Amino acid sequence: MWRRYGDTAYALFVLVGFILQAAALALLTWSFIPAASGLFPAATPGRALLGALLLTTTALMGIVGFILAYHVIGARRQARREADVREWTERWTEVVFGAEAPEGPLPPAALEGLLEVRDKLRGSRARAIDQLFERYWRSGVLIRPLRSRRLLKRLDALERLARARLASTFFPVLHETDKADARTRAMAIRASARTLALYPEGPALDEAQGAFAEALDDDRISTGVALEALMLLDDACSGVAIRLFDDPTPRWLRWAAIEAAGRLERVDLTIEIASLVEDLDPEIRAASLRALHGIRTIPDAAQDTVRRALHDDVDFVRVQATRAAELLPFAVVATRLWEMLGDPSWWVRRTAAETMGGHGTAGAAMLGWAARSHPDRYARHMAIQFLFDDQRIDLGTAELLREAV
Amino acid sequence: MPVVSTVLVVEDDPTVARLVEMTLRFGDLEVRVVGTAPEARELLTEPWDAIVLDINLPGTSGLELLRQLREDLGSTTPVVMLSALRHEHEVQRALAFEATAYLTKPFSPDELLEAVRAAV
Repeated sequence: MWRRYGDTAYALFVLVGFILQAAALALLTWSFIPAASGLFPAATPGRALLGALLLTTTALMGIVGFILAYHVIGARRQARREADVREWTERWTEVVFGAEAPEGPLPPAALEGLLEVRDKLRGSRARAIDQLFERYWRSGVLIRPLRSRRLLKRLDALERLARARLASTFFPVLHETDKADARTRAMAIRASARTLALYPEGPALDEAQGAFAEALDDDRISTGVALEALMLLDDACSGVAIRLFDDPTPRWLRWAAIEAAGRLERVDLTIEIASLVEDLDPEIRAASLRALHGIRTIPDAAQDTVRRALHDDVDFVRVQATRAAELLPFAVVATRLWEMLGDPSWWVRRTAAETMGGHGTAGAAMLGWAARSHPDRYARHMAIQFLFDDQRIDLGTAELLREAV
Repeated sequence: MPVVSTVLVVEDDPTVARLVEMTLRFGDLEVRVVGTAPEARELLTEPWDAIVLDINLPGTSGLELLRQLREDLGSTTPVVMLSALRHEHEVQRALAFEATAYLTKPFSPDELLEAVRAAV
């Protein structure tokens, strides 16, 4: 609240206070120099000290008074504004369901209220809201602040456009992703993603998805922002992610696309993701395996690929492969999981035990067998530890087994 | 005189709650809205024709409330789930507790009304 509306006035007040202070101190300093004080008989040290004190008190009281008044007035204005927005949200909700639309021109709270309603809806009623935006404000009114020199105004405009989700504003917003300022770029990517998430079906959707994928392919965009944007696409993620799986796409962006597809559990992308399990880059292999595990589906044609990944040279890839092995028939992976209980990596051993544990009675039986008679000492320890952690054996049994080990 | 179906809406976002309420009233259904899981729990024992349940409630999640409805109260009331994100494992869990439909936010009022009408 303070930073948003009070910057200029506060800066002026502080400047005036600072100048008064500087003047008072200058006078005081001057009056204490014996040679100089003779030049100004009126400015005796005592009088100058009193004057400086008075100026200091006035400046401090002015600034403190301003801050207090600002907060009191600001809080009241904010409360009134929120009440107005609530009132308009209610009014627009009724308009969406058939009440008569108000006559324009409308106050700023009306725009905020309509944005609030638009943000929650999709389908035909949402499209009716798009027409209300056009009728009262036109998309140009929402876009114009993007040209402002003030960063805050531009970011506010992007936030509004993200909530409005107007297809007509998608490309102007996407254009902002090319700006030099990192905050504007990140905000523009998010706003474009939210608009694209509800973009109307049709030929224009394909063009918009292609443009969005191209905009993401920019080294100035961080992996985190790209991942967040892909997540914001929600159901529309597949159309963009699939364009980013291919090799010319930079590694960090391919990783983000696979990760987003996995987190959003895009079942429609399992075949494409499975094809990346044997990529040259271990980060991509690990991300693909993690995504398949997240989606909880391994296509039949990819089962052998995942089995091969259990033998990967890189331990963090083996960890993800072991996790994904939970989705393969136990008979297919049992032997390899048994071997992996004795893997040099602690993480692989632990994941192998967890995956076995996730394979029902057969897996639990194999873990019990491993705890007693696995040829590798570390494998026996891991099996015992997992059985204890998972409350399948009590402390006494675990101790007995450990002694036997 | 036709019997009016009654629907309990459990949703903490006031705008979404109001939009859901208006959607259902628009479809000639009687609606009661609550914003928290404890409030909802008190009303679960009443004979609702359907429940619209948000997954991301503060404190107790909608899925937990659905579990309590099915397992603790043994209720078979149709439940339509509303969620901010569509996660397959959440959908599977909801379906395992016999949720009738699973819709994501932003939601389509037409889809919601169709889902609730099909349920009651």
